[in-house]
Amino acid sequence: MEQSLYLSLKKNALHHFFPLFEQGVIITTLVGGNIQDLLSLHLGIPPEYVENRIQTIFLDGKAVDSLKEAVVRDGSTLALSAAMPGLVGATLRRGGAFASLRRSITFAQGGEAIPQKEGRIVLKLFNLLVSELGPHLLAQGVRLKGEELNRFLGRLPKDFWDECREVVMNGLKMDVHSDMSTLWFEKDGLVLLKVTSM
Amino acid sequence: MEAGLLKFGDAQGAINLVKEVGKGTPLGRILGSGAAVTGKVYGVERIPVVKGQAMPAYDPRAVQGIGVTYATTPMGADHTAGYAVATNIMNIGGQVDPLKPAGQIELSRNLQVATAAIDAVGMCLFIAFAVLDQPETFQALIDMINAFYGLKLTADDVTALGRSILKNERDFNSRAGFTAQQDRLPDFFKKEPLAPHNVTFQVKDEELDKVFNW
Repeated sequence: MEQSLYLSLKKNALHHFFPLFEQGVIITTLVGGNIQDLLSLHLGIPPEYVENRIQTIFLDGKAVDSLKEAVVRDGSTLALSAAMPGLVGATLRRGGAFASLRRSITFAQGGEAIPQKEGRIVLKLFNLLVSELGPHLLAQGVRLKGEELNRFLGRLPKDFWDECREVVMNGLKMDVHSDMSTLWFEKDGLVLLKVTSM
Repeated sequence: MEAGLLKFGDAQGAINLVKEVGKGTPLGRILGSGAAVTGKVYGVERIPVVKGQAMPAYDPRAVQGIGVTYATTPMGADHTAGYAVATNIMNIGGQVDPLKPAGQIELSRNLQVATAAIDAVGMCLFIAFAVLDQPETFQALIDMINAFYGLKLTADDVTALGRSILKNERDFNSRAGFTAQQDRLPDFFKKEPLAPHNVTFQVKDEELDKVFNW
């Protein structure tokens, strides 16, 4: 059975979870389609936000210009960022005027079309997108390796748990006043983490 | 933020501090004197400056070529003095792994020489992208310089020009009291790993001292 952790927070303490997005979280979604569909149809991000706000995209380490042509595969790593400053920011920007400067690291779609199916990708968020998209994705649920989540929980400040209204671990409600250092997950398995805030 | 004046991430607070500089208050005058002075006043250990010049965007642990430039350019931490990001990140003019020390000394050296020459002849530095990407563009640049100044420079002459400029700049710094100890990054870059790759700056000090050996 998949491990799980559900946290309901009293007030906005979601920022504690934002570093997880820079490391990358695992998202279960429909793969085999393009980035546009993955973001808007499957992750529920408004198309206008995708178009105007997500200005820098890397798919498997290569800069993407066309959201409709780049296909996400099972196991892909998708990194999203708002517009970054400076020359390198302008160069990496989706469809930017300086895209020709980065020809050798630009994503080029190749190979046969693949059937769409449920799969997993690693999703990374950077700068402004973390605070803007992170809460939405945490509410939907993201997955982490147990070892990684254990490390993260161990680094939370002790007073973080005072902000929790509810803690449910593997379907069992925990006493929020008890010692939360007992929260521990099997290191090699995945854990579904959901976090909501009032 | 490191000194505890603001919580990390307080964007409006940061903007207010910039405005403090304009007001000329004691805090504003400290901040207006730059990161090195502000860090010293507040007793901050991790001050990202070289030769008193605060670092721009790139963390030298994640882009080790730019770290060599930061440490060794006579300017101080200046990414434009030898823009190793072009090769480390964008693979322009070749590929040098940004997370490892191998190849960074030569990369920064060559870029510093070329940049010094380009800066001196009145061209915008951005032509370097075309020069790095297309070998024939370098000759076009030389032809342009020769036509404009009535010279007969060769590629070797342009390289010699860049080296001469750097030699003069380093000589100036030396007479002003700078030693090899100023050609170093702050210690914390060598000790504190940076996520997500968990790397530290790995180019050794004795290697940094070889940048200007030609």
